[in-house]
Amino acid sequence: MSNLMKSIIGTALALTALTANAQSGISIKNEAFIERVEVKPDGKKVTKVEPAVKVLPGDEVIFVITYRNGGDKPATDVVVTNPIPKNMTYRTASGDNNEVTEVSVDGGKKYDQLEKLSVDKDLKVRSTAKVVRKAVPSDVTHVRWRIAGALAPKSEGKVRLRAVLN
Amino acid sequence: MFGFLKNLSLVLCSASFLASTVYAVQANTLISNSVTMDFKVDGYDFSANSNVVSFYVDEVIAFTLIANNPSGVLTQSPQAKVPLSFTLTNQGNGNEKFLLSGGQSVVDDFDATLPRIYIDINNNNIYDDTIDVLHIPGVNDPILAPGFFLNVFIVSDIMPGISAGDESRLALTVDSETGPGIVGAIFLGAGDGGVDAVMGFQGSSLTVENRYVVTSAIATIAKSQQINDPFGGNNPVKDAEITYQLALNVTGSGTLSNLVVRDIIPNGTQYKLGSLRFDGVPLTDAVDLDPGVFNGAQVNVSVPAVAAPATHVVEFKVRIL
Repeated sequence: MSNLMKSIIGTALALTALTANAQSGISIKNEAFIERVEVKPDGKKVTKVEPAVKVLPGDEVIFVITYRNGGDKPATDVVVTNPIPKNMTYRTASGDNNEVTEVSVDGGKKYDQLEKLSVDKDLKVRSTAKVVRKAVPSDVTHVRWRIAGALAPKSEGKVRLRAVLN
Repeated sequence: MFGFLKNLSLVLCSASFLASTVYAVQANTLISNSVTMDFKVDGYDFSANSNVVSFYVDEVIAFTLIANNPSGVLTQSPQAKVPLSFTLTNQGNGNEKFLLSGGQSVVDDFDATLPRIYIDINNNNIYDDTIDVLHIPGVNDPILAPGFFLNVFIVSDIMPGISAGDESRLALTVDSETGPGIVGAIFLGAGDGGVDAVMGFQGSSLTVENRYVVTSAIATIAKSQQINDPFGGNNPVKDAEITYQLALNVTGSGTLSNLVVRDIIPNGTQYKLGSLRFDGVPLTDAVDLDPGVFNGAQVNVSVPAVAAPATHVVEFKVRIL
C-alpha cells in the first residue's frame, strides 16, 4: 500500500470519528496525576498533585476522566468504561456528579458494587463454582461510570480512578 | 548499571537466582490507560475513545544482605580457605550492579588471614575454590536482575596458634553502583532505560558482619587396611592377614584429654594376639600399665592427653577365617 493510500485511508477514518464526534459533540479526556507529599521547612506536610510522568512501584496514580457534551443535543445512556491498566491494581473510583460507579472482576462481563461480587477462591474469574470468595480490590479488571439521566448540552463531568502501580 | 556492562550481566546471570518473592513491575515499563465512552444521541448509539495517557515506571533501588552464619563459622587453627557466607538479593525493580568489599573488625580477638571475596557461581551456598569465582573489584562486580539473589563468600585462612573461643569478625559491604545516596535520593536518568532511579529503604550501602569462631581441638580417625594373603598377594582370602591402621588426627588448638580409640574386630576375622601397636610401639593385650587392651571383641587404646596439632597411629592385625 502506498503512503498516499495509507494517508487517505487514515484521513477517512479520522473524518469518520470526527464526524461522529462532531455530530454528537461529545468528547472525553483522560489525564493521570500523582500525589507527592512535600515536607516544608516548618515541618508541615503539603500534598502536591502533579502529572504522572514517571511513577514508582507502590505509587497511587489518579486518572481523571473528563467527559463533555459540546453539542447541542442531550446525550443519554452515557457509560464511561476504564479497564484497569496492566501492572496496576484498582484502589477506588468516584465521580463528581450522580454517576453510578461499578466495577467488574471478570474482564468487563458483569458490573456491580465490589462488595456484591465474588470470584473463585483460586482463579481470578467469576464463576458459578461453589467455592467462591468475596471480591477484593485487586480482583477488579474494569471500572465503569453510568451517568444517570441525560448529559445536557454544554455540560461536563469528571470521574476518577485511583490505582496503585504494582 | 547497564550499557557497557551488558556482557558481564550475561555472565553473571548464571550466578544469580530468582528469589521466591514476586517483585514489582520492572523499571522502564510503559503503563498506558485509555477510556471509552458509550452514549446515545437522538436514539443513535455512539462510542468515543479518550486519548491514551501513559507514563514510565521509575526504578527503585532496593536490596538486602544477610549473613548466613549469624552465630559464627566454627574453624580450627590453623585452617585454610574458610568461607563465611552472605546472600545479596536485588529487591528492586531494575537491574543493578553491586560493588563488594570486605573489612575486618578491630574489636575482635584476631584477624583472619588474606580475606578475599568469592561469588558462589553455582549457587549451592557451598564454597568450592575450583568452581566459585574470585571477585575482582571493577572487573566482575555482580549485576543482579530484579528479584535475583547471589551468594557471596568471604574466604580467609586462619593462622596457627589461635586460642579456642577466639573470634574474628569480618564484614561484607555491598554498595549500589548507582549510589551513594540516602533513602529517597533521586538519580536522574540513572535507571534502566534512562528512567530515574530512586534509592530505596536501605540506602545505597549495606554492611553485614559474620565471624569465625576458633574451636578447641578436634579429633578425627582415618582407618586404612593392608591385606597380605598366604600366596604373596593382597586378596582377602582365607588365612589372609589384614593390618588395620587407625590414624588419630588432632587438629585445632588446645589439648584433648582421655581419648580412647576403639575398634571392633570384624566378623569373620580373628584378632592376631599381640599385634596391637601405638605409634609403632608394641602393646600388650592384657589390662596393665600400657594403654592397649584386647578384650576378646575389640581393641581399646587409651591416650591420656594429646596437644593439637598431633597425629598418632594405632595398628593391629586380624586373620580372615
